Amino acid sequence: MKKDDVPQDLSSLGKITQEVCYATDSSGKYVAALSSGWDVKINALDVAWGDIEKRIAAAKEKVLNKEASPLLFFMEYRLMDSKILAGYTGFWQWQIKRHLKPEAFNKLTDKQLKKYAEAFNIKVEDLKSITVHED
Amino acid sequence: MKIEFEHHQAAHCESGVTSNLLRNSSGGKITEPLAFGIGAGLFFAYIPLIKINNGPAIAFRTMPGYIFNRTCKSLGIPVISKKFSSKEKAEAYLKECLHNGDPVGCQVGVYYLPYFPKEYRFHFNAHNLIVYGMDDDKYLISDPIMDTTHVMDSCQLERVRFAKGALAPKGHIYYPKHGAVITDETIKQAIKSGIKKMFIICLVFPAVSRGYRA
Repeated sequence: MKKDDVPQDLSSLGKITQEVCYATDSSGKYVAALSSGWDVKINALDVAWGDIEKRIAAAKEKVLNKEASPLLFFMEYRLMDSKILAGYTGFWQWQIKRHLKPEAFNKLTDKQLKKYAEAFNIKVEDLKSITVHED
Repeated sequence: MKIEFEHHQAAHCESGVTSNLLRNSSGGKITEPLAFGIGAGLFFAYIPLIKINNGPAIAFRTMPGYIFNRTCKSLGIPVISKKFSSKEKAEAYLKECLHNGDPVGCQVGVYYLPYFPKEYRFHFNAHNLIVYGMDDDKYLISDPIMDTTHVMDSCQLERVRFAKGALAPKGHIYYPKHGAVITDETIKQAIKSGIKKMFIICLVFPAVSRGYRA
């Protein structure tokens, strides 16, 4: 790719920093060039985040209908599966799957709730009331 | 304390960390593309059995840590690399390294990196950055993807160094041994070995999900 053809479509990373890429200059030699983003990359990320938003909305509805515990909402919100959450909390995966049921979640002790809240980087009250603070 | 260290932006985190860490001993001769080449960083894998963020795992680079290790091995530089089970020991060791004047590379997870934009935060644990000093209780961070340096407090750094999930970093820390000298002759030899390794990875590798067959 020629240095002048390096895409300059402003992305979310582009607002913070420009990315280095390698392109040819007028004499055909490779040099480092700065790019502020690329449409294809932006679209791919948008599609991925669109899917995640849908999963979060579906999880929220399930929680409000009392079909699942708030744990499900925060797992989707933090993009965690039970394996990652097990790593952060120290619970077994089968325990986490059990805690996804509202009945089991309501019986959790404060200590256990605190472990989940720490893993999601939120407060225990927010975990119970599914309140989200943008960070 | 602050170690003399020059931040240079790079296209990719691990080759950037490698070239930045080797800058002192090589006098700037090991640039990022050269580190990527000597470390045989190019790779392709498509593994539908491993799910990452609900999708199949697709990789376009080698396993984390390989570029740095291969580059240093080819150049004949001893590498010190450590993983930890205890968070306290990991931080104590990091402080000891900084005290000895060594900037160190750390493998981290990107999800809780404070300076990353929200759109780029996934549970991806093979990001690399350099810690090059301390200012009061803040760590000075040089992330090769970013154009400037950043600071992080010890809680934030601990969280990303002990991120969980696939390829968990476990506080992985690595740096080249102090005072190694890189001559033009060793670079020549290293380039040759890099090309050979790249050839084997791309054309000879037998699995169908990796190399050019993928």
